[in-house]
Amino acid sequence: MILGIDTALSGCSVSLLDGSRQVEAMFELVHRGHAERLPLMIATLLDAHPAARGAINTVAVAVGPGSFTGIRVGLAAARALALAWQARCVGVSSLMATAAAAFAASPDPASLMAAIDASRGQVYAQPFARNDGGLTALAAPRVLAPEVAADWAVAERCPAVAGSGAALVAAALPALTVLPPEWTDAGWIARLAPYASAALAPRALYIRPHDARPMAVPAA
Amino acid sequence: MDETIILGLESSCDETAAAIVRADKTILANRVAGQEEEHRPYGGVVPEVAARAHAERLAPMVEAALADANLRLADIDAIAATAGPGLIGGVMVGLVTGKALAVATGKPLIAVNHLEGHALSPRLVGDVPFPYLLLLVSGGHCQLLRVEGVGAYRRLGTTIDDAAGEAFDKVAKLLGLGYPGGPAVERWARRGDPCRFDLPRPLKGTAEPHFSFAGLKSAVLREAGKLGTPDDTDKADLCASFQAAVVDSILDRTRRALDLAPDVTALVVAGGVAANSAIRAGLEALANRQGLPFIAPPGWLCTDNAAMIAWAGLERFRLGLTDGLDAPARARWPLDPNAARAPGAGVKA
Repeated sequence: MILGIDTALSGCSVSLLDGSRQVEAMFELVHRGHAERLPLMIATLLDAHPAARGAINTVAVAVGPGSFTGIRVGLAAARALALAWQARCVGVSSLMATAAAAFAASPDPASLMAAIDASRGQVYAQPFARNDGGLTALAAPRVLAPEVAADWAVAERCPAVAGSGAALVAAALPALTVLPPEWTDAGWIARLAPYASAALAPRALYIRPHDARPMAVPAA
Repeated sequence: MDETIILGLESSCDETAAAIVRADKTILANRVAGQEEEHRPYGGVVPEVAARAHAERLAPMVEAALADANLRLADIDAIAATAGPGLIGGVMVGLVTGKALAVATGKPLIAVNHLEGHALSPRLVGDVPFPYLLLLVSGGHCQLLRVEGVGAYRRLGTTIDDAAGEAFDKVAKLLGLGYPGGPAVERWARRGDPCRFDLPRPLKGTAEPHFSFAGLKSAVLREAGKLGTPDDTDKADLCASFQAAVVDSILDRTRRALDLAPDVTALVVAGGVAANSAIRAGLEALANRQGLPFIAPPGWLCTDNAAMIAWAGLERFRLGLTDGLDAPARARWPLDPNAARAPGAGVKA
């Protein structure tokens, strides 16, 4: 079984997969307070599915990009659970989860841009193409202004954009179609985890560096 | 015999730590990793840098602690994690790790106040009955507390501006002595003349045993400014004069606190600045004059560590004090919630 965890964005969610069958999914739009909410959700899930305790062999977690704090809450929980259960811990990109959910919800576009609101007038963005019932990243993720992301979508032949930053990108280029979902959820994190092309090390995908700047070297 | 075993986690500032402690005071594992290299380029602890480092290191550190103790998680009776006060991003990493371990194993969680970890730490290495007077001096705190029991503290005094350790770090920074500043100032002070600069002893002689270090730091800045480019002798003399002023101030304030708490069984010092040997020596002499035992936990237990968190967790667990999975991470969390605001206290006090 696979336990999925996603606290990287405004949602707080957990999911349980038995093979490819989703046996549980909980999602709450919390915006903040993931550290208080997530452990209770996991406890509720385990109470509802007591057999899962001994059967979970993979803990899948959204590693961002998204809220720095939220990413770390999910990672801390996932790594501790995996440690306790001696399970595999797998990271999944929030941009890929966004794109996978969008392709599943909309049969039309062959490619799309996943965009997550990065605040400060920027989005985290990455273009994806649909293939053989799955998806492929066309380039590495970047953090950039919505206008630049819109130009990038055009260059990568993406007619659509999905995710919490989609409206920002489409505002810069109205020709782009905004597709659901706005938020990622743990269901897609768990579903993607078995794929080698999606499975990452359980390490934060911050993309944007922290703000601290080294101080000037003091005069000797 | 009580053979309760507690796993402790600490991540509230710039030390990532995991420890395992048994009720008979045996420390079965005690892992601590500092982040000096990560923070050195910035001249101080950067919260986001600290949180990133904690998130990378804590889980492997728990595994290493279990391996050191030759235990499995199933052998642990409860999980104790620092829930504050401290840098919130780091606190969250430790607290959520603790919560997830508790959920996964079905063991109780104890959300520990980091300051209570320091306050009870002398009882991990000795038999110190309540009540005792605690001087808690670190980079973030400078308080005098009457420790009445587990979870029971009366704050007699606190700093109205900077913590003592903060003052050490700032003086080191302005003299270009490097990071971390406390040990650097102490090193330079050894070669210096403590009488060369006439520095203030803020709040000395006042009735309530509060502290103030911001003015002292500014006085050092002024003296350094007058010197233009201080040479090594100037720097050593400034460090020695500064340290002497801090020691004087701490001793005066502690003496006053002892007047206010005449029934205490011991004078105890804890926190990172307790590693300073001049402060230790002064406090020991003061305790001797007052006929009190002086208790200073060993240096490794004074700086941030998880053994003290596991121990505080154990003391709470024995009293049935456990916490829910929704226990909040707290940036601020005073040990004595009833303490009045210190007169003249700034926003950090």
